[in-house]
Amino acid sequence: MKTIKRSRAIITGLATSVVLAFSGLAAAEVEFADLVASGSAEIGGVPGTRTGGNEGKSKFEEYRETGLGGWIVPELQLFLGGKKNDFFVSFDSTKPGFRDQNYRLRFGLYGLLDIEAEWDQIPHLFDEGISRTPFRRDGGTFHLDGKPTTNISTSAHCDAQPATNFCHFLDKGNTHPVDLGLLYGIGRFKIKYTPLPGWTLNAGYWSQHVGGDRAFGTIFGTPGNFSVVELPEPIDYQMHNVELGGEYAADWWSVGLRYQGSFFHNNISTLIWDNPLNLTGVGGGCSDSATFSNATNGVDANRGPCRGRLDLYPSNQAHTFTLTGAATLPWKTRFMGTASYGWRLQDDKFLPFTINSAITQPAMSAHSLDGDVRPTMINATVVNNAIDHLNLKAYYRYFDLDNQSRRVSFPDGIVINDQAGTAVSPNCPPAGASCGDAERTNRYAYSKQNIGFDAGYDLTRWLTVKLGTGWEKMHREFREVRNSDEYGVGPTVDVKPLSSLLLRASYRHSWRNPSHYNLDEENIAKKFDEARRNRDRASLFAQYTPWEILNLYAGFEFTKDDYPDSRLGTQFDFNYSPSAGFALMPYKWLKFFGDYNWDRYDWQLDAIQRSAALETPDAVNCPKSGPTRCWTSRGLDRVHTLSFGSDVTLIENVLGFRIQYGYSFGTSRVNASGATCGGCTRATNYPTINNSWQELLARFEYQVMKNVGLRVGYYFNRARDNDHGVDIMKPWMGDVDPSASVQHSVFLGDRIKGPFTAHVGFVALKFSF
Amino acid sequence: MIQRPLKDFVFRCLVKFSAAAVFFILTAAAWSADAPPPEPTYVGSDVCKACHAPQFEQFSQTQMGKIFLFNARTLREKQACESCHGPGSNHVAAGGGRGVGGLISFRKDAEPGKVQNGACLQCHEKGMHTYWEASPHASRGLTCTNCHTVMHKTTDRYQLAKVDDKTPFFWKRADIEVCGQCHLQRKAQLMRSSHMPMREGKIGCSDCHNPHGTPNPSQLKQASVNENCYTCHTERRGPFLWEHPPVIENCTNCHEPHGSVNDRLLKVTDPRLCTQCHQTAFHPSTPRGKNSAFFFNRSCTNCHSQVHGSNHPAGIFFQR
Repeated sequence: MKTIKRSRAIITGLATSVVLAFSGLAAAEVEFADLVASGSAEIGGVPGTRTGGNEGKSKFEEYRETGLGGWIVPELQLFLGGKKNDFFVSFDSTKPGFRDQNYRLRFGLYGLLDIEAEWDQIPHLFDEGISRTPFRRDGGTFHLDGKPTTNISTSAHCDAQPATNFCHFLDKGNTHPVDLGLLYGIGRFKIKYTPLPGWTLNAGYWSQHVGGDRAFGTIFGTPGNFSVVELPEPIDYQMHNVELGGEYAADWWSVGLRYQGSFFHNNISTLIWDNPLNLTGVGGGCSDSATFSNATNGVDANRGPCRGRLDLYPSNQAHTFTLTGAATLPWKTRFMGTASYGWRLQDDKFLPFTINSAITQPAMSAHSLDGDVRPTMINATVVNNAIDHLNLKAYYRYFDLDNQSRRVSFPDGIVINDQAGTAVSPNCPPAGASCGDAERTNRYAYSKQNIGFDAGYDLTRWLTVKLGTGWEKMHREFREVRNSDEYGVGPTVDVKPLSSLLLRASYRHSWRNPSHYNLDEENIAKKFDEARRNRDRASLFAQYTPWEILNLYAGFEFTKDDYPDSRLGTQFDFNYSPSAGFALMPYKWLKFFGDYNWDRYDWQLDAIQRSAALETPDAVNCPKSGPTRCWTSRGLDRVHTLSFGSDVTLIENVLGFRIQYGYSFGTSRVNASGATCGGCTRATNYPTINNSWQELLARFEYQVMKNVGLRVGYYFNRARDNDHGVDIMKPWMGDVDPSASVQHSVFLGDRIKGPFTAHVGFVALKFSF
Repeated sequence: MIQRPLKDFVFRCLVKFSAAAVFFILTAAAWSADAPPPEPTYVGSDVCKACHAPQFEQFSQTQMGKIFLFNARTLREKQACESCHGPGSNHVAAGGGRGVGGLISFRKDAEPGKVQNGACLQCHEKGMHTYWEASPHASRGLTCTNCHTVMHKTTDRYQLAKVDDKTPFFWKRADIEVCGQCHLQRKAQLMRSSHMPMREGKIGCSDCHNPHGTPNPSQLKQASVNENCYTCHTERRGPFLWEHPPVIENCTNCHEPHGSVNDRLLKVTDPRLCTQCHQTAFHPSTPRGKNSAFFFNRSCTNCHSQVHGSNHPAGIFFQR
């Protein structure tokens, strides 16, 4: 990686030198032989400070590398063209040598050939220098160098536990830092060739590598008696995409065929990790036990397995063929149609049920899924304008996700979490009993059919009214609702009474009716994506330009979903979002702009706290017969977003100034009440999440000479994030929640949302020729 | 004898008068009505250049200019300026002037949107523009020039009406700025704490959407929401031994891709997000408090980390 980075830096350095050399020689395009060359290079520094420590850095540089306190080449461009204007070669780079660097090389023969190669990097920093883990990693295997040897069992807090306890083991410096973050490296190569005016041929290759670590939860035990062992999951994904296509277009029709292939390979597909709560030893010194309880002492018969093992995302591939055609027909009719068919394939070998040697491996009917899902899409759309001012559109769309994967059966049941005694299957008795066919995996699949008709009429030159209707039929396999129909209808109005005024409004009401919702006996909660739903959506947009110098605009988005048949589950959610903004340009050299948005999202969820023995349908009929077990939760998200600024041209083509400010402040509240019965866990509010983001940029641009420009700027950035659920994290959470389940867990302590304030200067010279 | 010459004289006068009247009427009619202009003809771009030299020079720097003016292969391309603006003979004959001679000026409201777009669609009605006529943008009367500029070079590709603003700290992408002119809520969402790298310039609207229309919902480029997401998040494509049905149906059941107040682009704070559907068993139905492993950190996915699907025989609850 370092070599690659160095090579890129060398290439960039050479290119920069070329630009500097040329800019020293010439102030305009350079001509030599039959070529014309131009380019620019910007070189500068970004001195500054940032508060907030490692947490702050993690947020400040979440998807970027600012180069704070160092040198930077923000942008580099080189262009070479023929004097006959017949071809071009261009190279440009953004932030070379940085983690978010980008390089692009392009060659073209105008109107005939276009070849582009690109390298792009996207960092995604979760945290750096914050998280800690007691594990050492070797590929996908995590092992502990040591463990305490006795007694993890106590309900007291860590401080009160004996020194041999695992929490003291963690506290005593037996953890080491681990950085969490991903780096996407993306290479793209595209060719577009137009051999004859009607023909277009495309070919492309796209590679993406994702590497790094991210926090990942693993578990021993079962609900009520579990231990979380959080690990830095190693990510090493490689993806290759291929695309080939051709299109022919005549005067009144066109047809195109395209193939897309996508190949994903996970270089680390298995995770194996030591069980820190089995205290019989490390490595070969550890002995497996079939059962696990986090309430015992770690050396008894309930100490559980020495290691856990899970399967990370399997390698897979997909192939899709797409045929698209269009034709202009008589009576001002245009037909557009697409048909695509594809395969999503996956056949990685299954891991054994468990890594625990104390458990006999249950049987399974196959050793790989032979996963085969086939998406099909067919669309036919017709647009007609035969009658003046009347626009008609009709469409049909069919999407089918046909799952032809193997159905795997587990006649001995399923071992959960590498421990015995928890063998289950969705439709199967406990381990040891034969389940026949009933416990086979489900081949989830669905299809959607959409038919719609829109009619729009230009009542006058300034008023267009449209009415749209649609019907969606959805069919699902192996879910609670097999068939559902959704109907929608609504008008759209576009009004332009004056050339300076534009109003757009639309509304649509839709209602979804599941033909039958198959409720489990113990469950009357309905899932929001399948339940009966009434939806209202409205959208408004207005733009007023009373004078050429002033543009005012406003928008409003509204969505409300009601679930009238859901006694439990999501009851409703709604979102409304008004916005307003302006752009004012009183003089050619002066511009002001700004906009504001307020967004509100509310939802309500009704639930019942169930006892370990599942409630019967009558008993859970909230609030009819079990009101004290019922609880309600209400979510309220509010976000204010504001931005404004000004562009000033102080001296035309010589000195300019820009200032812009952006601010976003959001809160997310989750309130809850109910579940007041004896023995219930009473529903309580969660601490409010709030986050803010401020960004100010003030920048002068001064053209010192014809080929030398100066940019001087100041960048202010501040973020504040409060999220109780994340802020409190540390490797040992025992003193946060005294419940046994948490006391015997190991976390990374990743706090991804650090507050920070950054003041950054920016000085750069741009050389061009 | 006298009567005959008089009669002839009167007759000749009547004939002459009638002829004069017919001539007058015909002439008057011809002058009083708007004479239909002669059918315009193509005059060639050199004629345009004579008066519009600065525009010509600017246009010649664009990719379209390079093709039309220097590398034309088709008749339409050879027509250069007139390929879009229409034949210019009447404009020239009238001595030029804004809106004179029936040219398409592409100025705001100068011609109906369909006329303006029709000029572009002569060439751009295939590939990614195939579905333009059926697109929501077309049906709402948008014109190509609402988003694109033709006459001078703006962006490296697609000649967008806004330009990129790159700084070492953020990158205001032209496509986001163009879409953000009307999609105000979406533009605001990009500023939220949990976001994809859009304000950093690494992703733009057109990575997922084709604003020129597609046969797919929300003008997505791929056939479904999930196919779109799998473009980058390929690892989640599966198929898996244990599938999570709402996940394979639609990523947006749980995620808000444009930006969220909640971590990981979640629409609703965990664990309530999961509780919306999972109320059957004992533990998800319990409203755990804030200091619980069911809430803090990654909540439900502390244990159910394979929530997007598992290929492990023991992964029925997405824990392996």
